[in-house]
Amino acid sequence: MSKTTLAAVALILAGLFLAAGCAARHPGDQIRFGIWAADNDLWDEAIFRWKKVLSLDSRSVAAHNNLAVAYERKGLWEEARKEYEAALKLAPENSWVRLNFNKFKENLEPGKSDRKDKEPQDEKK
Amino acid sequence: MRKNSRAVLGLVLLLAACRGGGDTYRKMRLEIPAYSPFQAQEFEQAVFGGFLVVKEPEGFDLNKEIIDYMSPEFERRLQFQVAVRPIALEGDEVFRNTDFWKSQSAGEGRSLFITGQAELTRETRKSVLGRPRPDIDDPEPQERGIVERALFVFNLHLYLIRGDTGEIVLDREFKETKAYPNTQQRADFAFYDLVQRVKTKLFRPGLSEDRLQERYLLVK
Repeated sequence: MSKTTLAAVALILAGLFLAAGCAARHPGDQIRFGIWAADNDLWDEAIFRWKKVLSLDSRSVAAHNNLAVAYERKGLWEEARKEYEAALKLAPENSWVRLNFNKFKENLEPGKSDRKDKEPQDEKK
Repeated sequence: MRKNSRAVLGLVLLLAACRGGGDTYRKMRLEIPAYSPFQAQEFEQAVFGGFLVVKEPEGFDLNKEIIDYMSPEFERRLQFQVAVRPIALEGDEVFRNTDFWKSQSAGEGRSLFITGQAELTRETRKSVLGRPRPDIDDPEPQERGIVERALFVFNLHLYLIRGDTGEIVLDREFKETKAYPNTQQRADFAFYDLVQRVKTKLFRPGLSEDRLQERYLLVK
């Protein structure tokens, strides 16, 4: 095996270790891992990941919002409300959280929610 | 050298995948259970206590019609034993009087009172009908100009009240309207049309059926 091949293999291995490390520690990756779990209908795993994010960063709007959605999916209404409220307290102008919360309220009290919010167009998808 | 640059490119792509793309949210369609404000199994029976009628068409007993229509629906959909026991309702403040409802349920076990305020009105209105489109050759052309319509409006303020505590567990207002080309439309037929809409809206959340809804998961 030539020196250049060895260097390339070493570089790739280093990259893999780096990727594994960031997946385990970075809150952003826990968020994404939770979304992957939710995509695959593994809601308990998703809840575990997003709670873990909150243990690292209690001001994570994404974790509060996503947890609220997960609790809604499981029919845990009070928990969902608390998480939505926490997310809105941290980011009152976040259109996605507001939209989710309005839909949540509509589910609980049909006809009583604020229907003014439409899907936001100004943010990157 | 060329192999090295390929390895570096691979590493960059790997790290990019690790860090994720630029999306800020993910739209998901979820089966979310519908919320039910009460558990039917908490109650031994449902009692229709009657409705406070504000206005009704002449010769039409709105209170009786609501009970006749709704009681089998409650029995069938929520597996309740349903009793009809008219209660003297002297004003709309009675619905929030917890002591009143506790006294009504004395010795009856766990009852759920179904009551509220209702109104069915009928009026004749004039409507302007639009012109038919010239590009469509309609074999049955519709009327044009100003025509009369019979408009029925059904307002129902429904309360479900726990007999043991007198607390309201469901407080919902329904307003349904329908216009009929037949200006002599009978009130009972119109009521049947309108109360069906109320039934659909009322029992949808009560049944706890899952509904497909959209939510947004935040990536960042």
